[in-house]
This record gives sequence, C-alpha cells and structure tokens, in this order.
Amino acid sequence: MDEGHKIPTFYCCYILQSLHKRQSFYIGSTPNPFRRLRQHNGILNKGGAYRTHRQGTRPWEMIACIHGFASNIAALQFEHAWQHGYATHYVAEKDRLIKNKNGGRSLQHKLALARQLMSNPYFLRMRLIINFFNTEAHSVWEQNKFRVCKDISIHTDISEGALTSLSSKVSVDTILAHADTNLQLVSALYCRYVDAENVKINIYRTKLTHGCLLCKICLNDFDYTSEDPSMKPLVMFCPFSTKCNKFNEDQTSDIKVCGFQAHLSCVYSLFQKERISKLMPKSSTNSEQELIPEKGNCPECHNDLDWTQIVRDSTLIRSKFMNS
Amino acid sequence: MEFKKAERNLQLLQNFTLSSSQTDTCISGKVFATQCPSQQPVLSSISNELNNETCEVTSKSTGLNRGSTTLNEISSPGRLTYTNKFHTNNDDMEAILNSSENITSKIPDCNLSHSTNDCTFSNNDSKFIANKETISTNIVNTELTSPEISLSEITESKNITKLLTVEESSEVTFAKNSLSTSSNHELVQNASSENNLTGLCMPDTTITKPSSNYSQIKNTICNSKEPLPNSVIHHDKESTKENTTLRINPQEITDPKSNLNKNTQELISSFDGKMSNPAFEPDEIITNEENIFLSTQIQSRLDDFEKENNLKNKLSQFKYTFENSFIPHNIHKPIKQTTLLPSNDMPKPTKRKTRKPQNITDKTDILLQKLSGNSSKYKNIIKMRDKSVKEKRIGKKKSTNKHQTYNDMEWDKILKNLVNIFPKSTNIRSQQEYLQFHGDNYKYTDSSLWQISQLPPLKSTVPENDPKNEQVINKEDSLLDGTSELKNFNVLSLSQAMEDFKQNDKNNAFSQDEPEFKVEANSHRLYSMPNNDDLVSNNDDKVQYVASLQDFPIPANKTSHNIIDELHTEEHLSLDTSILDNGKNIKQNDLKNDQILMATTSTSSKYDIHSFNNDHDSIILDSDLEDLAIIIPFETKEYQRLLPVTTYNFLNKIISPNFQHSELIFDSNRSNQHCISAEDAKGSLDIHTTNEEFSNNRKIKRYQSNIFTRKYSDIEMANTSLKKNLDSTYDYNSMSEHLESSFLSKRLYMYLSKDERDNNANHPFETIFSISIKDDSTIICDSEEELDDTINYSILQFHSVKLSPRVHPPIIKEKSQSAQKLRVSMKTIGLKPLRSKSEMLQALSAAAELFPNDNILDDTQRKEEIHKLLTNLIRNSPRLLEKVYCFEPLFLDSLIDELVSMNPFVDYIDEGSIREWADIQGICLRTR
Repeated sequence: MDEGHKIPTFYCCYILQSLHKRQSFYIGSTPNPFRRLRQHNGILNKGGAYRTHRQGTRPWEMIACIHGFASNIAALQFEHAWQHGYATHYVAEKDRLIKNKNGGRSLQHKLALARQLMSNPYFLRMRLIINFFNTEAHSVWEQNKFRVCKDISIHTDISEGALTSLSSKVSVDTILAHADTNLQLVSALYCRYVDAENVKINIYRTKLTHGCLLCKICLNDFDYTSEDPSMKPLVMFCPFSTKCNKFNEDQTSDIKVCGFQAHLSCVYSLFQKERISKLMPKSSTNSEQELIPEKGNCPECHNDLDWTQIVRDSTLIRSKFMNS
Repeated sequence: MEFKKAERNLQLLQNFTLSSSQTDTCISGKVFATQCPSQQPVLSSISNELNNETCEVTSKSTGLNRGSTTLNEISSPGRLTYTNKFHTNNDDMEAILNSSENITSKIPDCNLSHSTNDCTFSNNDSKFIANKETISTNIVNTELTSPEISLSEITESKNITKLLTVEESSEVTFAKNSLSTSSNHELVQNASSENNLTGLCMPDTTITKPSSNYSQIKNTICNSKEPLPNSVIHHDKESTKENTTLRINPQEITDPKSNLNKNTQELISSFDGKMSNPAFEPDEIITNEENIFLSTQIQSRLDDFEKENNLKNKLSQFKYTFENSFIPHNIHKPIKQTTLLPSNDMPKPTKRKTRKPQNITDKTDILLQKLSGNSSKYKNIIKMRDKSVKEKRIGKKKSTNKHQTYNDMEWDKILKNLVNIFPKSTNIRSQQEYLQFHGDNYKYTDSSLWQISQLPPLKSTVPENDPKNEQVINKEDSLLDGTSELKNFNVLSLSQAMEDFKQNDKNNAFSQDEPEFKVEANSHRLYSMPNNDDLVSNNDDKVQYVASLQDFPIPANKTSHNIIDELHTEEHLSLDTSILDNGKNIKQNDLKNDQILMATTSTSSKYDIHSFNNDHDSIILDSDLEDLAIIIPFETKEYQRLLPVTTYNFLNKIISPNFQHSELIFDSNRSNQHCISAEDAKGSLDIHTTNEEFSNNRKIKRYQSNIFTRKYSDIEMANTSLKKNLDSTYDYNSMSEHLESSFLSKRLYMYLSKDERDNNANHPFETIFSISIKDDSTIICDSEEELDDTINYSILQFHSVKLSPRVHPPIIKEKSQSAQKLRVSMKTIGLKPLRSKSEMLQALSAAAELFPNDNILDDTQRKEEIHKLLTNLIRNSPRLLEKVYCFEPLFLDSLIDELVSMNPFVDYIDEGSIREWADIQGICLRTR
C-alpha cells in the first residue's frame, strides 16, 4: 500500500565557503549534509560535486544550512531560488537585491536573499530554521546589511562551537583542521535530528501497539495494528508530556505523557476553528482563507503545537507503521 | 673519341657477367628504359652469379628520392640479397662508393662501384637510355663467374637518350607475368622474413641456399649498414623464360676500382647529352629480348612516353623547351611563349542594368520606381501626377476627372429622368447638384446618396405618351429600359426591394424576404420571430417592420389561438385579408399615405443565424404572433412622448415565454443561457444593454413547450448575464397562459428615427430601461411613406415583461472598453488571456456572476475573490484538503483538472494566478 507523503526527516539547503578562496561560495541542498560535505571536500569520491572540485577551492566550509522543509520538492525550490536570486518569483522584482546573473557574490547578498526567501509566505509557513556553523556568517546575518524583511522573525540557530573565520595567512594544517571541525559540527546537527526521529519512532511504536485507539475529538477508533487501511488514517499524538515538556526517551518510566491523540483531520478542523474564533471581526479576510494553520493548542495540555511538527510526526507514523 | 669511349664502356658492361653457379643459379635482371625525359633512371641491375651460390639482389627503384641500398641478410648461406636504392646526389654517390668499397673490401674479389643514376635498359624497345650519371656496377668476385651482360639487348635500344625514371615507390617487377607488386612484394618479404632478410626484395626473387663461402659475404654485407651502391636485379630464370639476365664478368670486375671508377666516369661523361650515341644505343645493348625483362607498369609507361614523343615530333609547331631534357635536338624546339597582347580596341562600355534615377529625390518617386519595375510605367505615373499638380496650380477649371463617365449633357438628361421617375422626391430636386460630379461643382449635403436611394419609389406621373418619356426611353443613354412598362415599373433599390412588400402582392402577406418560419406538422405553432437583427441592428439602416396583431383591431373571432390555428402551414402564413383590410382601414382613417406592411422579417437567406458576426447584435424573438403582426406607423408625437430620446438599438432580453423547464435544452457549450421566468415576464421591461453586451449571443436549442407544442427555433439570447436565472426554477406551466396574454397584449412597437439612431449609435440602450411599457392600444404605424419625410423610422419591439432584479445582468464595466483594456484587466484579475473580445467579455461576465457586488470591485479585489473561490473549492474536497495541510506536493495539472471539475470557471483562471494562490496558501506545486 502506498505510504503516502512523508515529511523528510532532515532536508537542508546549505551554503559553502571555500577556505582558500574566501569569495567563493556554493549553494546546494541535501538530505545528508555530513555526507555531502565530505563529497565536496573530496573525502568521498562518489557523489559528483563537480563544481566544488575546481582546483584551489577545497576544502569547503559549510557556514550555514536551512532545514525544516516540508518536502524535498520545497527544498529544491528553495535551493533554486537561492541560486537564482535575480530571477526567482518568490522575491518581488522590486525587492530584489540581485539584479543580474553576475551580481550578488558576497556573503551579505546571499544571506539577504536567504532571508527574503524565508520570509516568503510559501516558505514561511514551513517554519524553516537557519543554522550557522560560522560566527562571522552569523554576525552578517544578524547585521542584515540590506535591511530586508526586518519585521519577519526567522528561527535562527548557531551550532555550539561555531568556528571563527580563518585569517588569510594560515597553514595548510590549520585549514584542514578547520575543515574537520566544521564537518563535525555538521555531523552533530544532522545526527541530532536523525536521533530525534528514531526516538519518536520508538515512542509511537509503543503507543500504536496498544491496538485500537480512540480519537479524542471525533471519538472514532483507529487501529494501526489492523489490516484494514481505513483504520490507519493520519493521526497525531501530543508530543508533550504533562510533567516535562519534552520527549521522554525512556518510555518505560512513570513519567506521564500527554495522552491526547486524534485524527489529524480532526485536529486540523479544531485548529481552524480556534484560529477563526480568535480572529478579530475586522481582521482581513485573508486569514480566514488560510488553508494551513500555523499552530494550535493541545486540548489537553494546552501547549502550543506547531502544525508542521504535527504533520511531520503524523506522516512519520503513517510511513513507518502503515504496512507493519 | 666519345664513341670509342662508349664502346669501351659497353665492352666493360658486356664483360660484366655473373657466372652462375652450377646449381641454383638464380639470375635475374631487368632492364628497362624509357625515353621519358623527365624521369630519371631507375635502376640498373646486374645479377651476380656466384660460384655455387646465387646472389640475389633485389633492388628497389626510388627514382627521385635518395635511396639507400641495404644489404639484406640472408639466412641461408650462399644467397645474398640486398636492396639498392639509387641516389641522385653526388654525395650519396660517394657514400655508395664508399660503401661499395667497404663491401668490396670485405668481399673478396668483389668490387662494387656504383654511380648515382642507373642505366636503364629497355627490353622491348631495346633502347638504352643513359643519363649523365650513369651507374655502373661492378661486382667483382673471384668466385663469381663472369657475368655476361647481354649487351646485345642493351644495344638494341638505339635511340635511347633518356633515362627512365620510375616513380619513387614503384617496385620493379621482375616477371612479366608477375603478380602485383604488392603481392610480389609480400612474397618476397615473406620469403625474406623466413630467411631473415631485411629490406625489400624484389618480387620473384628466388632465394636459394647460399654456400658456406657465401656466408662470409653475407655477414659482411649484412653488417654494412651503408647503402650499397650496387643493385643487382635478380631474375629468376627458371620461372620465366623471358627474364633477362645480366651477366657480369667478375674478371672484368677485378680491375682496380679506380679504373672502374674511371670507366664509370667515362660512361657518365659519355652519356652526357649524347643520347644518340650509338654505343649506348639500346639496340646494341639489348639484343636479346628474351634476356631483358621489363615490368608491365614500366612498359606501359614506356609506351606512353613513346607515343608522346611521337606526337611531339609530329607536332613540331608546338615548341616546348625543356631543361635537362632528353629530347633529341631534332625533336625539341624551343617553345615560344605566347602572350596575350592588349588589344588596341577600347573596352566596350558595359551597360548598366540598373539605371539610377535622375533627379529623383522624393521618396515616393523612388518607391514608385521600385514598385513599378517598369521605367516607362513609372514615368507615366509621374507625368500624370505632375500634370495634375500643374493643373491645380494653374487652376484649370477643366475637368480632369478621368472617371467621369458622362458628360454634362448626359448628366442633365439623367437628372431629368430621375426627376420624372421620382417626381415627389424632393431630395432629388433639392439636391440636383449632388448628381453633378463635376469637379469643383461637386457639392455635398448632409444627407448622403444612400439615403436618397432609400426613398420609396414613386410612380411615374409622366403620361405614357409623354414625349419626354419616350425620349428618355429611346435614348441610349437613358438609364431606364425602353420598355412600355416604364410607367408601371417601380424602380427600387436593392435594399428597398429586400425590405418592402409589393403593393400588388396582396395575397402574400409577406414579401419574398419572408422569415424562416419553422412550421411543424403540429398545430399551434409558434413561428420564429423575425430576426431582430433587423430591428436591433446598429449597422443597418434598414427600416424594419414588425407588426403584431394585438395592436390592431383584430376581429373578435380572430383570437390569437384561432389565428394560430389557422396557420398550420406556410401557406397560411399570409395574413388574413381581413386583417389587411383592417390595416388598410386603419390606414385610411388614421394615417396619411401610410402603407400597411406586413410583418417582415429577415430571411434566413438574408440573415443566417449562424452567420452572425459576434459583434453583430442579433436576436430572434420568439413570438407566437409576430409573423402576423402588422405594423402601423406610429406617430411621432406619441413616439416622442414615450421615447424622448434616441436610439434603441437592441433588446436586452429575449423572452422565451413558452417552454417547459424540464424540457429545456441548453447548449452544453453555452452555459450562460437563460430563460426568463413567468414572473420575470411580467411587467415592464427593463432593458439595459450595450452594443457589446448584446453581441454576446446565446442560443437556446429547440425545446418544446407544453402549451403550444411547438418547437422553437434557435433563439439567440442576449449576453451571458442572464446566467443567474438558469438556476432558478420556473413554473413554466402556470405562467404560460399568463405570459401569453401579457405577452400578447402588451406589445409595443416603437419607431426610432433613423437619424437619431445613426447619431446616437453608440449610446447605450439605457434610457428605455426605465420606461415601462404601458398597456396601450396605440397603433404603431410604419410606412415608408412617412408623414414627415425627414424622418425615417425603425421599429423596436418591446415585450411587456417584468424582470426580476436578479435577471438584471450585471453591468460589466469593461463592456465598453476596448479589447486591450480588457486584456489588461483580465491579466490583473488573473484570468487567462483570450483572443477575441467576446470571449473576454464572456469570461468577465462569468467572473462577475460569481462575485457579489461586482460593480464595486476593482481588479485586485476580483483577484482576491478568485483566490477565495479556489480556497473554497479546496475546502470542499477533503482529499485535496488533506494533501494540502500535509504539505504534499501536488501536480499542477491534476490539481487544475480537479478544480475545473468542481467549478468550470476555474478553466478561465490563469495558471500563474493559481500558482500565486498556491504560494500564498503554502501549497507545494510540482510539474510532471
């Protein structure tokens, strides 16, 4: 049976900077940034990366990556727009900083373009996160030289132990060490999300093995242990526990988790109603017309639930346990 | 002296014999010679014959190139093969000599001397060609038997003065019947390879086992890397009898080198320019043809050269000079180079095909010339133009109008005839000058000739016996036919003939231009309304007449139904004469000089429904009694009272009163069709439409009514704004009777002045909207014979129906805009670009129907409304909604198809607008 769409665990768009040629940048996308960076630096022979194979540019440093895309298609669209800032439709022509193909080669331009793209409603709804591995890049981001999209808040992270930029005159060993450190940072980021997903899978497996479960909104049953596909709709489980607001890796403990569970469609309806009810009477009609909610409250624990995260978990459950 | 030297040399050559061994003698040799002056001697070969050994020498001719003689190692003792390439350079000669010295030193009693060029000996022709640098090879070997050179063969060639030059890469084939050189070459190579022979060997060279003594020779020769001067052609005697042999007497060869060298030098000198030296005549040298072997290739070339020479000798007039040629003096003569002397004649001037225009600076003139192609034509055009310009300047009053077909006298006559025919046409009288197309005398008035032509014809008041009439008739220039029927002949213009009824045709209530009445077999038929294109056309100036029986005093027994019942077939379409009489009575009583004209409609032939231009307003009213209507002229006063203003070009709505809702058949392609309900068919008629609105015609297919059981013809509806009523349910059954009565009783015919209509053609049909048509029995008359001659009327029919508010078509603002503006607005809204204006209006109207208060909205707001529509469509589809909120990428094509299936209006929406909406909503779209 078709597992349906699944939000990828980790799919990011990254920007590389050459450690030798500081004005050389590369923008790409990948589901595994750790492997991809090794390909760029020649550690892995297989995998293309021809453009970064140019002599004198290696090794490359991943200075930032944007993750949280709802689909790999969306990530590719973002990558293409990031690479072609002079012609993307996600940025209005009047707002474009890069006017032509040869422009926008500096880090300021590239990060400003990334900010503009992340501010687009299409990508804004995905609640993307930009993670920096380099403090200088982070400072440029914070600086926002071109003052673009100041009003829009974008989730920004910086990795622990982010590297500082190298000076011009450094030895080769220093450069290589810098590259290795950067690789470790990227690996840490990737592994964090992968591990988190594995934890979720275990949690949901435990829950679903109970058999028939009840949707607490529509009071209908769903059972992922049955063979009937109709009993396996998209469902959600509140990721929060009552005692501690985080996932408990050890499910055998006595810590209670929020027991809210429901069909995804029911949660969607609930969130839509809440959103509409919260809207002011004189608010713009556009908000009423939004098909995808941004967030909602758990009916039981009343925690704010990110809709993207809910869908991510729901699709994960369906993909992992649909055919089990 | 020279001859003696030559003889001496020949003797030496004769003494060159190679004694063949007792066994395994392989003597081969080839002698060939040509008379070709350009070719250099190829080779000469002397076969060596060793005692009990055979010495095979292969040679390869290089001709022009420097060659090298290489000694091929012979694996088997007693056989020696070496290739010899001949050199043309003195340096090489020295090398050759040196090498030969080395060889001779090594080889006991072997003296090799070699000169640069070869002596070639022709076998067939027995010609000997020698060059300056002859080659003489002396192989001295004590063990060798004295070779015997068949100088007789050599001397056979008498007239040899040239040396054969063979091409560089050619290889001498030793056997006449030999295989191809390559094959022989291969054979030799293979043979040589087997015996560790290097280099090229001449074909047909047999390799025999050399003796032990020869091994020493072999080693020494093989070790020598220097080219060997000597070349010995080894010929397999055993293979062919025709092979020649050259025997060199080794004893002779034992002479000291210097002597031999001297001899060679003497030979060389003797051959210097003395081709005719009999000592070296090939005939003397080559005596035995059998002993001289020539290759077929070389032989052929020799033949060719011989022929050439013969020709050249014959053609003494052709003088060629050759340098270093071997042409005999008596043959070759210096050739005078003919040079082309410049002629004293002057070069003929070339004609220019393209003539530059003279003094033509004007662009028009240039263009004319280019376009005309013919200069004379161009000139004529210019002349005419200049002439006209001149005349204007001069101010000639003479008429230059070439298009004038009649002169002044003729025009006067025509005018008189017209006046006679149309005596009452005051226009003609007053506008006599219009008919005079005389240059400056041409005058225009307000009314055009067309209008004049539309005036009704008048009977000629001229008596038959009027001589004037006769004169007019008889004259050839008369416009009228000289017939006796002149007086009864009513001259009608085409439009008049198409419109008017003939007065004499009383039986036929309708003119020939009858409407297309769809008379079915069933009774109670409603006949198709005349095409109100006549009525509402804003392009035609025709007077259109529609009459209704209800407006006339119909006999009591003649109800509508009765009348309808009577009209079963087309035959009965003609009006009842009583009606006509009534009409006439009316006319007599109320009208002056009015004609009661029967209902006229446009025929299908004239106004084909399907041939309507989209912009051409056309409505076919469906009326049950329209065909029976009689038009009565409507007095202007009443007209003005009712309609104070101007032109009413078209109807907004067409009422199709009698139909069954269940049996409504709409054209599937035209979703915006409309039927007016009974309620709507009451009351006044609000008509608001414009030309553009009216251009959007819709057709309703035939449908059958319960009441009249008729089938309606296609009815063209007004614009698509009537779509709203599609959804409404109408109680048609109940309304039918009521509608009928109201419909039939409240019919108003109005006249519009043509002038007013013409002048106000662009005005929207607005003023009449507010006018409620009253129940009046006012008889509307219409006649071509107007009370007021200055006003021409047209009739507009109104149906007394009441329209519900929702029947009101939304007034689309863009309907009055140009196509370009419509495109811009459509782009702003987010609709697909369309080609024709009608399509654009259709799309806009469809969009307007979806939006409440469309009149208030601007384009951006409409765009938002379209987005809302799409959002609502997604909400209504749970499957799509789930995909959307799960961030699943959707294929754009499939999404559009689904949306279109839900709402056809989505088909009008542009793809870019959909993408934009998707981006706003966070929907991920992908393409296939």
